Amino acid sequence: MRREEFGLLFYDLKGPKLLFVESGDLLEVDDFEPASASASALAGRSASARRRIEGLVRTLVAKGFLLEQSLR
Amino acid sequence: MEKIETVEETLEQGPASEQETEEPGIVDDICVEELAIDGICGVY
Amino acid sequence: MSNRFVELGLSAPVNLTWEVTLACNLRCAHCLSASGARAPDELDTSEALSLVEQLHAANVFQVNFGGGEPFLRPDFETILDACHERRLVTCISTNGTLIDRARVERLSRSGLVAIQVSLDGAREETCDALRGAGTHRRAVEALRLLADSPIPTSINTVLTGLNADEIPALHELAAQLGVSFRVSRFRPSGRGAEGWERLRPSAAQLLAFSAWLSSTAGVRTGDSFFSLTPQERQGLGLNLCGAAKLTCCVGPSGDVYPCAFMQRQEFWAGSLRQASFQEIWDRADIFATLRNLRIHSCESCQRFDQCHGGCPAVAYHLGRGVAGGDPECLVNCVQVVGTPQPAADRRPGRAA
Repeated sequence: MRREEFGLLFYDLKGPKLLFVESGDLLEVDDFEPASASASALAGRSASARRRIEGLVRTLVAKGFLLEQSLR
Repeated sequence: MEKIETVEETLEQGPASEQETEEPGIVDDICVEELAIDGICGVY
Repeated sequence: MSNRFVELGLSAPVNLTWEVTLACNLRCAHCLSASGARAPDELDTSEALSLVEQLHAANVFQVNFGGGEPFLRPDFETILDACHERRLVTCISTNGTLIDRARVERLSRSGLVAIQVSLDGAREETCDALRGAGTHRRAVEALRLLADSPIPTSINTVLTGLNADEIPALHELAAQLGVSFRVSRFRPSGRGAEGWERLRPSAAQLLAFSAWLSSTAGVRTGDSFFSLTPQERQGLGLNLCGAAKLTCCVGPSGDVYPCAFMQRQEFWAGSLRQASFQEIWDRADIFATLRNLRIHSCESCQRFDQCHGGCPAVAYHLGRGVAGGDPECLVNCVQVVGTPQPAADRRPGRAA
């Protein structure tokens, strides 16, 4: 993925397909780094922002652009 | 030889049957749009 | 599907075509680059690795390698390794003659390589007539080796008048070999320009191909045929020219162009020996021209939203100018087929 002016651009090489996400400044590429996932991405955010981020992440997982990992 | 359709017949063909066209989605007011690409124009 | 985000402009291409060398051990009649002898001033290893670093910095996702024959570059696997270390996905277009078991094993390691092997006929005589004696056999050998590996592999066929009726058989061959099938559009560039009248598919063949596409799943077209795409395939990919918007081309000597079919002086965007890749992408005048291109002549057409005027490169090479509208679009083909053709245009083996 990478940052664009409109938000984020994801690339799935298996498609291949692109996903344009007009998220503005809501998320950065680093927020998706495994070390920071579920931690800094949501920390200090408003309830509205958290809801938007969580909804977006669910969508990205559903579309196959993100893989969900379990700690178990 | 394939039947050659008129322009009108060609243009009246039905919607995509191989894959549903993805309409842009809205996730909590965030526009999300998918685009299938396959080389993007050209040989590769 | 809208093109809104594409039209907004991206910070870098999504992918690009990099012709790493002009050297080729074949002399295919339709070669888009007129490959054969190495260019005198091709990028050396250091310059090539610098470009890889620049592409990584620009967050380009994928590099599509071609040429010439990429494996003729002694340092090609070094370039590939540099891409993969930076998580750049690579796709290699090859004639297959230099693919052996050891190479396949090395290429399999990264998990970031896809390969397409050129094969322009289901029958040996058809393929060899275009590509040279023995090319069919050697390509199939390469495909068998690759199919036996984890590398995503496809046949790549350029649709010409000579092989148009073998497309279904090639599709079947791909299935038998366990590889994908891609059909690319023949364009009048390079040696393709010299052989255009002899090799181009007729309007009827293009229509037949369009109809076949509509009834055949899983055929890749690399967005080559968006101006011919039947309704059934809408939504499967880009429906406008991606040159300078989603992709561009780097030539063997570091010259940058909007796409592989526009490698001419009038489309030159810059040289990597004079400017950085990012500077060229951001500031090249020709890129701005293509990003703002409007094919007004096509805007009143019912299919405009499905093709946006088609391929500017083909329009240019056939004398219409980049904004002239694709002469081989679906509407034009239907109109041509509906018009009685003079006897001189009826060539053997072509549908009437």
